[in-house]
Amino acid sequence: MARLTHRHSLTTLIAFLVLLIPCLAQAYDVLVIVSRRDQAYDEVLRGFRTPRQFTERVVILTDYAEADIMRIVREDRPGMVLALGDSALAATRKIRQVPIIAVMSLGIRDRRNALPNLAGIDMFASPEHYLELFQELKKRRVGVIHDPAKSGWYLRRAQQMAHRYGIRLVVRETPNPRDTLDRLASLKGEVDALWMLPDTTAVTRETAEAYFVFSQEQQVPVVAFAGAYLTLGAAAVMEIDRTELGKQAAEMSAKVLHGTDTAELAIASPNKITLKTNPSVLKRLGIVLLGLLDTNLRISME
Amino acid sequence: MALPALSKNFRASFRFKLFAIFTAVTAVVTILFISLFIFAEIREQRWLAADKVHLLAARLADGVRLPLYAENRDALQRLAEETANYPEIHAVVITTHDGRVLTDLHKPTTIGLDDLLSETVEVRSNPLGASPETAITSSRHDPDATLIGTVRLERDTIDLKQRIRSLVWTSCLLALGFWLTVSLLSYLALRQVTSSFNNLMRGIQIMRNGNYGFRIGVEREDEPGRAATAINELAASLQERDRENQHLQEELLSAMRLEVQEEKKLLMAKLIQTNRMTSLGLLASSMAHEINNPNGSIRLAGHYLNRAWNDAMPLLQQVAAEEGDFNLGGIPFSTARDNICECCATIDRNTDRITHVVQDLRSYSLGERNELYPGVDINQVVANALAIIHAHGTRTDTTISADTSPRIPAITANHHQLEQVLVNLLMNAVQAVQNNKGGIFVSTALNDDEVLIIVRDEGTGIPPEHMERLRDPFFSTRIDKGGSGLGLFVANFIVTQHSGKLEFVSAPGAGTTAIVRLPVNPAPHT
Repeated sequence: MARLTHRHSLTTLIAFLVLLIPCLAQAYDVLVIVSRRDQAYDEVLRGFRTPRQFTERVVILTDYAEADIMRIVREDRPGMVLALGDSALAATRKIRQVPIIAVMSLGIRDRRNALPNLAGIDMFASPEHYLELFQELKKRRVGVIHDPAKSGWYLRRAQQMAHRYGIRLVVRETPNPRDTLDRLASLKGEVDALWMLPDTTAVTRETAEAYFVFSQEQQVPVVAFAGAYLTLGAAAVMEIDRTELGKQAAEMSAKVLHGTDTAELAIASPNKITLKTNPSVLKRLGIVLLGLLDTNLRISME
Repeated sequence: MALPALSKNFRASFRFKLFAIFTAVTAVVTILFISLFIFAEIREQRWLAADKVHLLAARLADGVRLPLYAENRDALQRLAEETANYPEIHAVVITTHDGRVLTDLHKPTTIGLDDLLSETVEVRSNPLGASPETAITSSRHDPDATLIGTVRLERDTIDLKQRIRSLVWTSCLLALGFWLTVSLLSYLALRQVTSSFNNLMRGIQIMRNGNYGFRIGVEREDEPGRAATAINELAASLQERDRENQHLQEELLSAMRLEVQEEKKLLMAKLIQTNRMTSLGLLASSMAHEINNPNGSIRLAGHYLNRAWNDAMPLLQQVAAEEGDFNLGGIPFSTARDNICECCATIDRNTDRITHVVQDLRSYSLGERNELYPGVDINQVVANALAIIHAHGTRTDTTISADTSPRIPAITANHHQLEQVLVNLLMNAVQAVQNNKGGIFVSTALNDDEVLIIVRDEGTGIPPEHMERLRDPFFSTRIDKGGSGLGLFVANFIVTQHSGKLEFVSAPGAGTTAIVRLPVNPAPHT
């Protein structure tokens, strides 16, 4: 009789746990997938956590040999997924049911068509910032090298706006990184400044140096998109404020968690951009920046 | 001095040894250091050459990064030609990361592979270059720069070898010059330093040749100078000692000369005495011959006279009986009859005695018959010796008493030699007692296996200082009185030849006892 009582209790416990685990899986709002441990991602996360307090679980991909994101999503059933970086975005390629917000990724727009549940903020600062800067620099012919497949949409926006600023964009298309050097060579004498886009075809580790060699040889400033290029010889960069980027992602996530469909959310541009310059390069090129270009643009000298 | 000797002296000199050691050590040290320098320089030259090639290759690799990535062969060729303009660069080869050769520039030459120094440098993307992915995070998390291709430079080492050869020659010439300079300077220094030693050695050599009057010049108060001072003092001391020795030697020579003269005088006296004795022996032998002839005639005449008297006796007795006593030769026949018989007996006895005396004298003078014969009667030897002494006629008032033992056995000896021994002892005894008129006692005795002949006198005795020298040849207290100093020497020699002993017991004023100990059966003498 006692043995029957114990067996009944064990069955009840197992049934309770089976019912409880799904309930525990619903315990957080956001599954944060981080490409690797990096200070830049920490800054984004800090901004993400500032305005709102989401319950979250953070998975850093480089901490695992092979992280099974699908299984985590299936088991945890988070309210949404926040992907930081291209590796994190790639890890969410099979997720269909859970909304995904991607930041710090260059390939958001490429995947947008394949993933309708994907929204996010791209790394392209508004062309207006660049154009204003070129206007300030009094550079009328601005050379741009890009891969139409990756940054064609952005260049079209830029060209539309360029007329307003009296700037002519001298565009060279390159479908292959190895052709970048030839395209750069073709710009010799044709441009007053060079605009480096966050285009993974036009700019690679091997070809990035060529932009600055061109700058030295042709005495034209290079305006890039990340502070890392200042040390290589860029005259100025339009760097995205990563904390603000996190806050912007948090706002977007709040909407998603409140039921807004990701399809309704456009791929947004970063709200806050910081202008950083290399005074030595500017001085060498004889350029003087006189004033603030835009209220959303902060200027810092490095 | 001959050249070889000079050379030998120079090689053995202190200066040469120091110079040789110093130059050898300097040579070894110079060779060691110059070898180390050359090896270090060769390594340095090779390292510099390799480093230069590496730098050129690195520079070229840095320059070709973009053209190589873009596979721009024209640009690569131009850059390779620029690098190949360096005269020592033999070849420039630029390849992609997958091994495709985009540029291969070789200068026409016949250099072997051993003369080539090859350096390959990888062409990688700029480490500061950032892809957009990493640039947007401003991250330093960046894997290793991407391999774009390689640049290989080949450098010929002919000029390097020429430089090394030149370096070796220059170093060797410098080392030789250094060594010669140091050796010359060291020789000059050594010559200055060792001049004191040379002075010292020259002085010592002169002193060694016996010139202790020479003094070494003291130039400095250094060690050789102090040594020279000490040696000068030593030489002065030796000179003084030499003078003293010379003086002593002269005195010694004078003394020896005097002593030799005295000895010579004594020796000559002994030689004269010996010569005299020899002449006396010859005279005795001659006399014996001259005496024997008349003595034989007398003896024969005596025998004839005795036989004639015995034949005439009956006739004369008959005449006396018939006619009465008559005078014969002035005396009555009755008296003369016995006297004449006695005279004949006396003639016979004395002629016989003369014969023996002469025979003994001859034997004594000739010194012959020294073999030992058995059956010698010692008592007879004593009697014969006494007879000779009596015949010598020198005893004057001295009484010689003989007490011979009848138990003396016959021994193996030389009769005449023992007689000579006994005559010598008796002559000494007679000479010892002549002044105080004492007696001489001769006795024989048997003591176990020894026969003793004892000659005791009551003479003056022998001083103790003469006791040890009694048996020495030519030792005599009567050299000036005709003594030869050979008597006891010969007597001791003869007794020793008989395996016997000659002993003396004497004290001044208490007489002397000479004891001859003769074994009954003497061992054969070697």
